[in-house]
Amino acid sequence: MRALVVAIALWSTSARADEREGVRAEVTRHHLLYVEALGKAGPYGIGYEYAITARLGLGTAASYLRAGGDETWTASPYVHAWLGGPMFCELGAIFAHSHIASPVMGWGGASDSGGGGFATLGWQYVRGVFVVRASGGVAFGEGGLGPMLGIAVGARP
Amino acid sequence: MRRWLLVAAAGCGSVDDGTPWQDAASAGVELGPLPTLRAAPGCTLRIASWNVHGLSDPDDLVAHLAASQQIANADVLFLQETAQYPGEDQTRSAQLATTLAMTWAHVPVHLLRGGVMQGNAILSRFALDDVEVKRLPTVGHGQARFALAADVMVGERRVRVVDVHLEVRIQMTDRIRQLDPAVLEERAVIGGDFNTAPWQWVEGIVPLTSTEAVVGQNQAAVLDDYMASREFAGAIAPDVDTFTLAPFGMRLDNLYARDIPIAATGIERIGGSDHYPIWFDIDVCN
Repeated sequence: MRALVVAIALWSTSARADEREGVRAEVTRHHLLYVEALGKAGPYGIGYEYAITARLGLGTAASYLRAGGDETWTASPYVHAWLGGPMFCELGAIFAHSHIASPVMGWGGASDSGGGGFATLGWQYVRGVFVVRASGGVAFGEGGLGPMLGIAVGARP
Repeated sequence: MRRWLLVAAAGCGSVDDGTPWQDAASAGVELGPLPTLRAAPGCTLRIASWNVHGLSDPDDLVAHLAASQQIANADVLFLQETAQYPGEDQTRSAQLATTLAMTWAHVPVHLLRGGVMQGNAILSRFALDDVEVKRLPTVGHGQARFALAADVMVGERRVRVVDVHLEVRIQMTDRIRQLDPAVLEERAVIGGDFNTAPWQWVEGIVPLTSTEAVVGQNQAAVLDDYMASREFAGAIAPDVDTFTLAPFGMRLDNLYARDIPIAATGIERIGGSDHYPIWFDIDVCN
């Protein structure tokens, strides 16, 4: 575990020496606000991310979906890591709660909650303060493995 | 584009009330003649259900049925996605039933491209009586969905059976809303293709696979819970696949009985359709 922390710190620190314009632009704007579809936060998420270094950020995303009487809450804290060029990866946890309302008498509906993780690989496009990300990966938990594809659009104010 | 908009609307629109139960004649049900009894009725009645998607040729369907002794021996067979083709006098249900020396009730449901009329059917080695049809509540702009009901005359005994085929990409709340009017409050069997994919659907198009992976909430298990609240016991466990498309195995089909003991159950992993046929034996004397 200590070796992993040291490796991440060294990798993150090395990014500060990176003279690429895109990287410098990222570290001067630490805050990222975005909306995301079908990503780590479920169907329609809103997210916030803070860039600790040029290569590393911490974020959280959340969503609420109500469709046909079914409700789903999702929250996802995560680590965002720049891999070089337009590529990035994210690792994090997902907490979700699902409630199926009963539309009939004599049945109480159903609720369930769960926690799991996710890992994604993504592509990012930055223009000025605007950021567009597309990512794909897997989510996992007590229901097994599930594929996920997300697209996010945000800005660094 | 229009088709996709309709598909999307199917997942998020309103739900109507469907229709009351209608008799066979007014609902356009095709009925077969009385079957020739090959043996005296016993206490055990085997009921099977199969969505025969992709098995349009009756001879091919018979060959696949014969591949499973369990299904070939069924006394009653619920079919979904059986059809009538343009230029043919009889439905494929009728052709199959005639080959198997069974009687039948076939309700046309949905007109496909090329003039093929898709439908649901009940085939039986015993006479069918009091055949009725109910159009189930339609979710958004989804397909019309029907429940086909009949009394199976097992000697002196009547067993009410209902064959259903529910909408595909709808939320569980809407699925219960669509099914509930067909769930009888009496001694009966209900079976068919409930289309209980394990996921919730975003706008009726995209399955929310990541949330399902995390939460592990399975629509099939929720359906069993709802049916238990109506005093129906199920034949197939929620984690048993009845849909053949790898890696998306899921239980879409089931058979339920109320006030009739289930003696045996099974699933036959035979090809031909993207569903496996399922069956159970019920004790009609008890």
